[in-house]
Amino acid sequence: MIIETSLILYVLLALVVGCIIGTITGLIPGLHINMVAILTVAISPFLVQYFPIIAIVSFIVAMSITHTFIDFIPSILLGSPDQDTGLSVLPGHSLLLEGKGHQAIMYTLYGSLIGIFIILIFTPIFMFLLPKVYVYLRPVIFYMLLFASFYVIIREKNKTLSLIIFLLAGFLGIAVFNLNLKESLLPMLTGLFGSSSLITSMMKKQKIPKQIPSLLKIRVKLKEIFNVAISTSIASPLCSFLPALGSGQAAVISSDLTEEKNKRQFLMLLGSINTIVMGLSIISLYSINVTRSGSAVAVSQLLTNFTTLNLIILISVIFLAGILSFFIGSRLSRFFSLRIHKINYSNISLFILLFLTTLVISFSGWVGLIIFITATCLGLFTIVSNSRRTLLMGCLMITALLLYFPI
Amino acid sequence: MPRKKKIPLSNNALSKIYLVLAVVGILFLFILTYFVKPQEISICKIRELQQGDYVKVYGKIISERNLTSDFTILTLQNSTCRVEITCNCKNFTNQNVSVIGKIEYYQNKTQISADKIQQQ
Repeated sequence: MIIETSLILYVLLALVVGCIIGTITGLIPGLHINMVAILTVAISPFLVQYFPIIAIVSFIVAMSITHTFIDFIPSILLGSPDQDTGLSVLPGHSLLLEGKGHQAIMYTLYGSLIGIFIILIFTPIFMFLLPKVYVYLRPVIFYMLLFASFYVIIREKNKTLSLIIFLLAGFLGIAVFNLNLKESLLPMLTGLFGSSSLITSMMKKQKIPKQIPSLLKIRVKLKEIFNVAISTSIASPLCSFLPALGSGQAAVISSDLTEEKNKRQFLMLLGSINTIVMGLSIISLYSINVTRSGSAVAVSQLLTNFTTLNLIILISVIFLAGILSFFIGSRLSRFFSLRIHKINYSNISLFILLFLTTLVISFSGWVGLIIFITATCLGLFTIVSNSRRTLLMGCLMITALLLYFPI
Repeated sequence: MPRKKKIPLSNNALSKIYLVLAVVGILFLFILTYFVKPQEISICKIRELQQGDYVKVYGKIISERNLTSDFTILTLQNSTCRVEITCNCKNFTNQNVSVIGKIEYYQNKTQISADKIQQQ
């Protein structure tokens, strides 16, 4: 197995560019890596004239991993999350109001870093065991999804309300998928998780206190790292190959498995899961040919022959991108935390809301706008009624349940 | 004249408004599914469209390759033009069909990822 020096240089270049673009997509709410991945696939006939395919794929993988590290920064500082970071808003925001926004982001970064090492541990298991196990799992995917749906609902205090939210999200998902719309997930997920949070923070007219970006205040106990590693190791791999189960569901299951729960540990858990689900989705593509993320779909379209050498290169890219992203993330977190109290929070939220609306209209047209408004109202209802926003993932889970319904 | 004081809506009232708006929106979207139809296009013009666009095409299935138990590639032909259809389907060879699906590019080739295939 010999890798040419020029190929290594191309991959390293792709890694750096991927980290830069992933940082940008992570920082701008609503700008999803899937869009960049789709665009990369679209211009790949041009790119392959100058770069090897594995370098283009490495770019997508590096960008995706970096995005999972950086996207907690706007989620915690601006309260504008995407579907993967939605659960971080509450614990993150409460720490922000205590002047500990930087610390909150650092916990998610530590979590993501733990996630990188868990990916390395799980890769051989996924490579050799998953193809054998998946044959037996496939017929029971419907029941596993059904169990996950029940679990998400029954752990809520108000079960009737949770069921209503879950079903409404499901109906919204069914309607959206039947509209045969281009980029239909964008208005739905942006409305459910992004704009609803922004409107809530605008209505509260919160003032952000001066942040204390001192690393001395960040305490992570070894026991907490161990707890996070164990609980994410159980839930995240399932979400890497089961349809419609995302980081949110993995976080709910994992947090229940964690012995001691606190904001710190929960944020680490979220960071870890976000990165693991993304990383393992690439390994799942290699081992069972299942695409569980937009990035994995893009990789599958580019890599027709996914060899073991390709996998080794991509795992190295995941590892290096993870380490780089940790340092980029901690620098950016400090930089933005020092300045967040100076900016008008409501104006920023309004600006992001307008940006998201423009994005939705340009990608999905006026029907997309109706989806966006409906999803926003459902998201707001969930927030105002003090329910968990994981329930909103019913929009994908119910659609997947119908798809896998055993006839 | 004394200024009227703005009374903020309670969480309960807000949640009712949001719930009603969400339900009305979902119902409206379901109604829309009957009216928003994919664009009908000739296979020859399919390259003019972008990735992710939904289309409806007509033609005859001239070949079928079952790559796995749930992944098949059909070749759809209409007059002189052909396009590959990817689906989880079987036994369509030599049938005249209509296909509704999403445009995708795979190795610089245009494909349609089928949502619905109907015999004509």
